[in-house]
Amino acid sequence: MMLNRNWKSVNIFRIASRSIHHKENFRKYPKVNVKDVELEKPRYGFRKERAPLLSEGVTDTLFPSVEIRKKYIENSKPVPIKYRSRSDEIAKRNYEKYKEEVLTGSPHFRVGEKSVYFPKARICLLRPNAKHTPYQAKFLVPRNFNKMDLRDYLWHVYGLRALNVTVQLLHARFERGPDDHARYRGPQYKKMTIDMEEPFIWPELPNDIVKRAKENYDNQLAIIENKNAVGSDKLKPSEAFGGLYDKPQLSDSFIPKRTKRVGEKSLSSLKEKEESQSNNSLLESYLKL
Amino acid sequence: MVLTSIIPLIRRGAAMAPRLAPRPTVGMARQFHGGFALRNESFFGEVTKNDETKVQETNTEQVDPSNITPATDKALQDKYMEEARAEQISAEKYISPLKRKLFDLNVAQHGFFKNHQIVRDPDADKTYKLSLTVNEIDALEPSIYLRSYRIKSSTKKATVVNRLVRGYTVKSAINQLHFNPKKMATELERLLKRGLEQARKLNYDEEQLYIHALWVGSDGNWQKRVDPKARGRTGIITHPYVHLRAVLRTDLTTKRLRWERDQAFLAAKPSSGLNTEPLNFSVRPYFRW
Repeated sequence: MMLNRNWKSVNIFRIASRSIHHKENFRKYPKVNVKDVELEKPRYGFRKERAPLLSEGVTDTLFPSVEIRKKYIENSKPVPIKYRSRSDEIAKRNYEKYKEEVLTGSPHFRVGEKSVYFPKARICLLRPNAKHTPYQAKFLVPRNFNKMDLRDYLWHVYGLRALNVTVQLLHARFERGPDDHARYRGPQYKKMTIDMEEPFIWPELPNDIVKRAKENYDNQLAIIENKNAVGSDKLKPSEAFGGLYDKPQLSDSFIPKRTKRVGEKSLSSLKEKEESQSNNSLLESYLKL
Repeated sequence: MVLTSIIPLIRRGAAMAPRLAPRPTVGMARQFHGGFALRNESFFGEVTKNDETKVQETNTEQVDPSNITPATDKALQDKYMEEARAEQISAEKYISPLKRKLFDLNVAQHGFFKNHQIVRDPDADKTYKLSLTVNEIDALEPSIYLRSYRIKSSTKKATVVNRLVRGYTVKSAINQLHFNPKKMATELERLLKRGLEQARKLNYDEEQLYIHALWVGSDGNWQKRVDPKARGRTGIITHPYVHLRAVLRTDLTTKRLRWERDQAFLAAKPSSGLNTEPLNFSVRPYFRW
């Protein structure tokens, strides 16, 4: 009894009581009031509350580094390293420059020095994924393209300002042909996502276009199936394209193979005979014999 | 918009195509045999004459291209009909017109075809004794040759069902097959229903239509598969494909066959209980010893 009452203070005994496998007496259970038990404890607010950082006080400026630095100095505290640099000033200067360039309509970047008069690169605007905002646009670009190339291209061809460019180089998928013994690497595609000043949302496809495309696909598939049919499936009519390839089905009568062979020969000889007769009679009438 | 403007041009172009180009009159020797000169009903005069009336007809027609469907396109349907006629198996292609005419006269006279009978042709005012071979009769009598599409089954499975309905009238065969749980029964029923439809179009008596012949054939291009077995052995799993072929005939055939059987019965010698054959040795009126 002693052991259990003082288990907090004497840890060794607690370890010793591990080997007791029978159920302990309920009188020795810890006494807790139901009302005191909080079932769903909040998972926040239990940490130590800290005073807000000095840097958090500055919220209304775009380039707050200078002001934050001043605040720390006023409170005679060491300025954090990230607020010591001049990067904010540089960013501010660049921002001013960018605004001016937008106003004057000049490019917002250093234009490349190689002049291309007839770009042959194929740039393809892609539909956005779920992760993209309307201010982003994704392009399929040639593999030899880099970020600057795309920025230059979009500016000079479309007058579109790419504010930021990120690259996604897709891995080459394995491809496997029906008769191949091995798998091969397919092409690697490069895609680039840009940030834009103005939002762009792809227009929704008209319903009838989607429907027509589906119909056309199904029809073409049916026709391919019909043309590649083997054996008796060649007799199968196809209703694809509104019955464009559907020939009228005439009923055949059964004629033995031998009758066909003999009949064809005798009929053709009969025809020849008749033709020669008519030719002769025409000739006779012309020559007035 | 582009399509609507182009299509009439194409159609007009197509209408111009059959206009006959002026032909040189040098190779006359060839034209004696060709049907070209005969088509214009004159040997020399109208060789170079254009078929003006035909061209004018098509030009005056006002056709709205958007209304044309494959079913309403007359030119297409005519072409398809011509192709279907060329492919159709019929007695006209293998039996001479005179024989066909005499056969029809014979049938009109007797209700069905009786071989070796004397027939009078009222147009030519002549009498003939018409004797046809078995194959010729088979070709001339009304029949429907049915060919199924490719079926994933085997000859063995098909034969079981075929034996059930061979010789039945088509209607009772369909009745039997409809309640037969086998797959081939369904396929055969489908085929016979097609035949029934054709018979309706040809104005044959549906009730008297019967299955004259019914067989199954390999449809070729059977797929093969490896059947792995124990101890490094393999077998081959074949996937057979078959087709069904059927010949349906009318009561014209039934009546003729019955008549022929009766004739054979009448012509047969009366049977005697004793052997009436000549002796197989020389019989002399004296002893040889």
